[in-house]
Amino acid sequence: MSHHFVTVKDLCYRYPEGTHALEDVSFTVTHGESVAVVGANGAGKSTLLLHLNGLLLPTQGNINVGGTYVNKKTLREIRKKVGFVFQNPDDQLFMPTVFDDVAFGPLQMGLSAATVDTQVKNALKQVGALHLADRPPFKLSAGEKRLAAMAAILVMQPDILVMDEPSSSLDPLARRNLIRLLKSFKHTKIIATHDLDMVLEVCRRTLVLCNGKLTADAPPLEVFNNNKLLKSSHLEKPLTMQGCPR
Amino acid sequence: MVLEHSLLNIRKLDTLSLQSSPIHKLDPRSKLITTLGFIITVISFPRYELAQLLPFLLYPLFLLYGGNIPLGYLLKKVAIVSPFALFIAIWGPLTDHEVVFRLFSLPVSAGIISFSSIMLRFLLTVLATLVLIAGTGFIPLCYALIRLKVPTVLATQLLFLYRYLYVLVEEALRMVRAEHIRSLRNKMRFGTFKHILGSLLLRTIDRAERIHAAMMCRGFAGTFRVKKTAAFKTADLFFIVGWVGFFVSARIYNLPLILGNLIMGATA
Repeated sequence: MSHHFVTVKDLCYRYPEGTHALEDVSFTVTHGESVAVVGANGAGKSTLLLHLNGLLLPTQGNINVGGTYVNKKTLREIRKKVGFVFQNPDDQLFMPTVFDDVAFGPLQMGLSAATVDTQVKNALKQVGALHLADRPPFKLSAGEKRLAAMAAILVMQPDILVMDEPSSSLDPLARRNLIRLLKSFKHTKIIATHDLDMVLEVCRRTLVLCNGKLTADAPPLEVFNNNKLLKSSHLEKPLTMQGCPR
Repeated sequence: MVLEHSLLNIRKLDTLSLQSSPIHKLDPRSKLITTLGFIITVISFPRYELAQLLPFLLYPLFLLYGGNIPLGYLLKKVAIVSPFALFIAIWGPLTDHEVVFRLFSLPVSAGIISFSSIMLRFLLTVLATLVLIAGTGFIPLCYALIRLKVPTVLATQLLFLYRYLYVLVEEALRMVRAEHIRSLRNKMRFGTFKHILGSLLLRTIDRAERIHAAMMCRGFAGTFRVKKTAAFKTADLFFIVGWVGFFVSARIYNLPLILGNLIMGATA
């Protein structure tokens, strides 16, 4: 029940060339929370996300996912718990058809053909992309690619979903569908994004990163009403809060 | 643009492979094994052999006809790669001038014969390979390779090559367009071309790293598992045994000679 948590403690990360990408970042995300990670370009959002399933390992500090510390020995276990949706679906959809791509994870886990088949179909149904099953990824629109990439992660039945810019380069309708989908997920969610309006709709909590440091950890409304914080973090009020004249 | 056009042309092979003829319904593995047998037999002939190669045309033609694949389209593809074979074959007539026989009083040298033999073999093997792809599909062939225990590294390379061909060409196209709108000249300078090629390589390496990360995230641990799609049927057995039997007998016996003798015998 309560093993769907992530605790990041005193996380520091230095890139090999010496850049301090993250400095003393600490927070805990509990079961079922949806948390947004916002901040300027290069503030360290992606670097932080890459730590959550061990694609990068901390220079200092540690990450605890549901009771397991992220290190070289636990990578397989961690990656089963944490599903990572990449920013560019083309990097994630590497198999020849959507079906094969969604089936990749379950096949690697060594499940039987029949089980894989039902699981893949369920995942595709869940994101409303069953009709895309036999299509090759290069024939999909950006929105369809995003859905397929989502299904490929959901099929692994992760406890925690980590997403990097899920709403980028989508048309308004595809973005709307995505928001609806994200709201329907019961998973613990951690979403890095510049789409602050989406944050208002999907997330209950916002982490603000600025130059690798955590500068705020508060509900979205509180963050978006703090003008000083917004300005120093290269952010601005979400459009829906700017009182646009109709 | 030329690049876009040739890309669409490649995808036509895919469209052809989506038909449902008796040839398409065969297990990809049996077509793969038989075509391999075909290629090995064809290249095993001595260098001056010509007549005995002719019966081998039957195999690609059989697949073409049975698979409802247009010959003209494939011949154009064969022509595109032909310079490679021509370059090798051309050394025959240039170096080997010994006259073997005269055709309507024209001297025919051993070089000419070896040239024709190489070109015929080239036509046979390349045509058979293209028909194999058009009649099976590239992806099912890759899966067949994996199921036939070909090293995964090789088979996955092919799969990725196919998957990212579009992505790569689109990336290149964007760069070429960006160059065109700012260079104000029609032809690209070699210096610029060099840089585009270089950054294309760097971008590809970056992408490869991200793809690898995506694979690791989904439990990839070195072995590439694929779903079992096609099943081996009686028709497959007949296909392999029948054709390989034909290849072996056409290799051992001079079928055109025997056929010629039969006809001559019948008329005499």
